Amino acid sequence: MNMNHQPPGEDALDEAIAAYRAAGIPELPEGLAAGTAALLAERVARPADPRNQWRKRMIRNVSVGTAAAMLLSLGAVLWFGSPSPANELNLAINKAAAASSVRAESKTTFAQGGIKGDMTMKTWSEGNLVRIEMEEQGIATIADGKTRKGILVNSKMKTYSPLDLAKLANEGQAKDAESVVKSLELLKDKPIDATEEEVLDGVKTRVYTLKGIKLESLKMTMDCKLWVDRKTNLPVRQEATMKNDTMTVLTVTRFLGYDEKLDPKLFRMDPPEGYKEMDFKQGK
Amino acid sequence: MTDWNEIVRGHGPSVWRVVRRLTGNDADAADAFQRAFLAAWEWSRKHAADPGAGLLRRMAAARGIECLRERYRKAGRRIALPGDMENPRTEWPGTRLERGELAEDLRRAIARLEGQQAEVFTLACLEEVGHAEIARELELSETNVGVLLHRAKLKLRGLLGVHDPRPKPPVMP
Repeated sequence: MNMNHQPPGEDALDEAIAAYRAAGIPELPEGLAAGTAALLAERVARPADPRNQWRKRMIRNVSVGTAAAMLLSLGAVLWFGSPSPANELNLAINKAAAASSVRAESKTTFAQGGIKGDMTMKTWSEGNLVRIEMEEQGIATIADGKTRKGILVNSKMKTYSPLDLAKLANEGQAKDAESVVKSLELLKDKPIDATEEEVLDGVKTRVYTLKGIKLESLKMTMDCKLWVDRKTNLPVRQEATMKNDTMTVLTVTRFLGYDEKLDPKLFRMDPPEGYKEMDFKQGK
Repeated sequence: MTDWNEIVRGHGPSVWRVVRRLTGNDADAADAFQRAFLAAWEWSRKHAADPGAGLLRRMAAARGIECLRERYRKAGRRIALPGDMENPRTEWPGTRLERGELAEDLRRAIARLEGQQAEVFTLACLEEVGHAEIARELELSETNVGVLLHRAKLKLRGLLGVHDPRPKPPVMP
């Protein structure tokens, strides 16, 4: 009688340890070490306590725009020490956030499970006011970030829907009402993988490449390139690729103007004459 | 002055090995990798000294465990383990090994250990660091390390399940 048939190991822990150790480990990803070193260099370049503590408290307590304006007025180089790419990028983002107005155009291409699509958006923001237009769909959204009210106008269907941003934010649908500059703030204090010089449409730019940024709320990872005008130190173009297991979204944003006097009509929230009111969710 | 480029270049691969094995995926490992070096930077600033290999390995283990705990906490449901009373193990470890699930079970179980138990177990059993070195790094006595390791193993055995449900074959003379 063959009694060689032995039961598996009696100690599941030993087997689990063996399985754990047997798993292959991929190489340290290229860029992670460099990105971490850049992050640490940026930390080292920050001023020591107590000034650093004061700066942290200040940034926590005031709006990003106010902080940016104050930092700029104090002299960014003095404040941050010698400028590193991360500091330069932070300053460019702060400057964009502090602009009185921003005009931009974005093209988004998405692919999910063999389905592809694209969408073009024009955005205007001034102070708390934001207007987002999707020309092809005939949809314009105007919102006031202070009162948290807005309106969605569908010129094709001749309808409008009043928006309650606070309520929509709770339902995860108010992201569209944020200024396009908001998305840049995701890049602040993130490790920079590479910088290079490039002439874009005749403008000398510095291009910052950032990889593997985690977008917790979207459960996606983002790789991003940002072109910053060397003369004005303002972002002029952004390419962001967001991915998860099932979906890839590529957004190319061109920043067309800062600190311009925008037409107040862009932000009018009264319903156009002859348009019929429709519930936002039905109209979607 | 500490040359962080040099430190990351020199110790990066060993820190990566610890966090990548612990977390089991690239995204969490990258997160833990950066957290480990940031923790080492804080330590270095506080102690005005350069971090050594041992400290970085400990930081890597601690941050890897932190990522595991966050991952399973975010899962938003109770972690079901094979050794749980309500969810007794019904499969053979061998078949689970073939399916590559055993290592993941161990990660889930480690996430449920208390702070120092998890660190001591990871360093001693998974990274094969000696008790004396662990004691030095964690500022514990070697006896404490032994006790923490014993308790960690007991809990892990309970969580993973140690009992073989199949009848044992008779022993032939």
